[in-house]
Amino acid sequence: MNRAKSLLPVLVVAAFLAGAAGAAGPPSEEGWALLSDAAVARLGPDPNSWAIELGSACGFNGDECDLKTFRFSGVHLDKAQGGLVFAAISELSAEYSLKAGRAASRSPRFQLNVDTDGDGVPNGNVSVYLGLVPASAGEGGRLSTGNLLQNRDSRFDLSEIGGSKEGTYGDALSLIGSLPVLGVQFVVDGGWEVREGQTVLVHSLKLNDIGLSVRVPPAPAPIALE
Amino acid sequence: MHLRITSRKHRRFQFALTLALGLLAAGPFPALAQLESPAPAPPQPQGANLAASVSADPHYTRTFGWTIDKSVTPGTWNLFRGDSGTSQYTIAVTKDSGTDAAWFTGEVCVENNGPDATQSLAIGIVVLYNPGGGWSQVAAAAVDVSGNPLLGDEESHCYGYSVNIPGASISASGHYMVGANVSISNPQGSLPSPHTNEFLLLSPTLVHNAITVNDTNGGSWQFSASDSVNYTKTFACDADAGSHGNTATITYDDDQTPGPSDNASVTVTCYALSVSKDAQTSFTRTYDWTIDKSADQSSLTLSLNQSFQVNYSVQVNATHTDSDWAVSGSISVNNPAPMAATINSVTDVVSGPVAASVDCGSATFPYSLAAGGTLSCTYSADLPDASSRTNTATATLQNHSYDYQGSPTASGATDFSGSAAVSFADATINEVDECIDASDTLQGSFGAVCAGADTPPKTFSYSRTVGPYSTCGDYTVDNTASYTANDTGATGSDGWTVNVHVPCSGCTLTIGYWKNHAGFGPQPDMVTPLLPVWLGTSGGAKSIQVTTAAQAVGLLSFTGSNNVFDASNGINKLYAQLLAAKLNIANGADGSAVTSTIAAADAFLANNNSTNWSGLSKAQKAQVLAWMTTLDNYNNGLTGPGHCSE
Repeated sequence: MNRAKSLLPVLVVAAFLAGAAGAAGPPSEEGWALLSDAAVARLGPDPNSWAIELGSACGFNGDECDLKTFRFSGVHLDKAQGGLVFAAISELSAEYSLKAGRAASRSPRFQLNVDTDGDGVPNGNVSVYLGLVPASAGEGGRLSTGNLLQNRDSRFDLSEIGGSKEGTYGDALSLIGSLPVLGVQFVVDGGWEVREGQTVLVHSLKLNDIGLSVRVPPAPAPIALE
Repeated sequence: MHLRITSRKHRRFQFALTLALGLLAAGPFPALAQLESPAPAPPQPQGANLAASVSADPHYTRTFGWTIDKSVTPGTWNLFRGDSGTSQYTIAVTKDSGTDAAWFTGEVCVENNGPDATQSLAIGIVVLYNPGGGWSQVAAAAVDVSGNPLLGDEESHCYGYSVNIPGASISASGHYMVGANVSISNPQGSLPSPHTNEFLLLSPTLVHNAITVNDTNGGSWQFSASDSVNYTKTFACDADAGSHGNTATITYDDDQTPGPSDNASVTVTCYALSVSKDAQTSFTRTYDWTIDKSADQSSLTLSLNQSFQVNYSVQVNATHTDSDWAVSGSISVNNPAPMAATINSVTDVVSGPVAASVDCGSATFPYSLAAGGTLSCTYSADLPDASSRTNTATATLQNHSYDYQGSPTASGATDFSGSAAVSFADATINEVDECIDASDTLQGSFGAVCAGADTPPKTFSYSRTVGPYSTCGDYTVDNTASYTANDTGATGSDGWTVNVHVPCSGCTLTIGYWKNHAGFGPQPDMVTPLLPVWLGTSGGAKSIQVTTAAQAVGLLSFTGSNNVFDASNGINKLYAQLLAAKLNIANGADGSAVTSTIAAADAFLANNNSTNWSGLSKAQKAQVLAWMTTLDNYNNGLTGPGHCSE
């Protein structure tokens, strides 16, 4: 895996911002950001064959993960900060593939940071699982979640904010529909349970019209996450 | 004319007589009489004029015939090794009454007085016998003249002859006379017909009258009449196993020629008891277990509400001591012979030596083991160690000497043995305390651990979270691992104590700690409760309000204000250390050591962010890095209240 810093001359990770639909307040200047050990990886010779590689791993001491060695990664969107309420999110989807390991321990997942008391700080997270609860995702080749908000399965873990661990989108809408979502992450952090680690390639993400894809700039330029 | 022959030397007489044909015609020679011309004598022609004489030597013998019969009792012996048997041989000879024979031998001498040579010379011999009532011819024979068939003028020659007397005409008291008839085919002047005087045969010469019998077993006996002899010979096993042929042969004493013979044979079959056995070894293996508990931490300094993962390890190990080595098994004594065997004892010894205890059940000794039967026993012995040894079972047979009638006499004993290797390579192991149940006051039961199956040492590893503590102070976390052995109930234990210090002035944690305690993975989110945190004075133009843990992770990971990872950006590093310092202070750490630094850094970041780094002067960059270093020292516990365990 190549860290993004080593790809500065050749790669731009671009997020296409068309505006935060339904968002209150001015559009944020911020978009998707690599989180922790996330990196940009080249998949092949095709100039557009790039992805965000998210990994999680841990050194095991017997059957236990030695947490001092635990690593995780993700993609973080702070664009919601400032007023995106949950009900205003109409689309949440990901296109990804599981490169190594297996889906486990709620990973990979979407994580929505919900502010329940209006102080501008999240009071808990709503996890949106990619597969059926508790399984997280299918394995194998490239997978597309579709719009998770249109899924009727019990993919919404609302337990951190007083709801069910196996809630539906309707449950979530009832519980936090009017509450601001301060941040959204696509997280891979199950390596503490999966001995062989987890590696997920993210090909695209989409929150409403805020999309993320990876492209190669026409000319060398500093890496930028827009 | 009568002549009495008194001795053999004087029996031979020669008469040089020329007899006239007329005399012969009147005498007892009818054959010669046929040569007599019935016509008157013609004038004497020219031809051969013969003269002849005859001599006779009488012979009279009585030859005895012998038969021999050899036998042995018994002719077959079935013996055990060490036994002996004596057979009796019998040699019987039978002499018949004898067979008489008589015959005459002598010469007929013929002289040709010429003038012509003889033609077709022929000589006949006749034997006349007078048992007392008159003479009669009892035998005749032609004389072989081929050696000199023609006699020239004035030539003479003697022709030998032999003529047998028929048995019916042999008598010691009879009178015998031998005559010769000489004839030729050419004209002759005279044809002689001489004869001998009378003979008496008297007593016969005895032939094969006595014998000597020589036996290939070494004996020699003389016989002159029918008789028998006995002798014995003893056969022992195994030396004499096999067939023993034996021949007795007659030799005639008078001429030392061999006569008839006969043989007898003794067959000796030797048998051995077959002793077979096996050897099963066993010993006791007693396990001695140890338990050792350890952890990667023995003392911790934690901030309020901080928890810490302690990795524990419990190792159980076993050594063993072997004892009670023993060998046991079965012994089979088989009798392959067609007769019963008398067994005096069955013993068993393991090299060392160690005498084993033998149990043959209901059998008592001496024990008669039937033909083809098997005596089954068991044995056992305790041994001092596991050395390889040899185990030998011995059956002692009572030997006997048998006479020729089969009557036994006890005579010595013979041992028959069978061996088996004593090896502990595949011994049955009687294990004691081979398993334990291990448990831990924190982790609970580890389950059973067994030597062999679990190949000790076996280590159990687990983690436990120490903390969080909401009150400062000192704490101890005690933990004891223990085991109980499965057979004897032996126990053992080992403990580990973690001393926890929660300083009332707090302690500091690094940016790595805060990054890994932001709600990702299994660890609790320690960051969000401490938010929001301003980097830069509150409301500053370029100040950043950190409101989410993910945002904090990004800043702690040097992605700065523009979400671009750049660890060489001093402002990015200042963001990370400043955020960690403020989280530490928010978490209860005394921040007085960095108050002024934080104030200065906040003032700077109110108007500068990551994108300004490259445009800063050297002095400004040095100042940023100095703040960063001060905060780094604080977060690592080099200044301030000290470092928390991570």
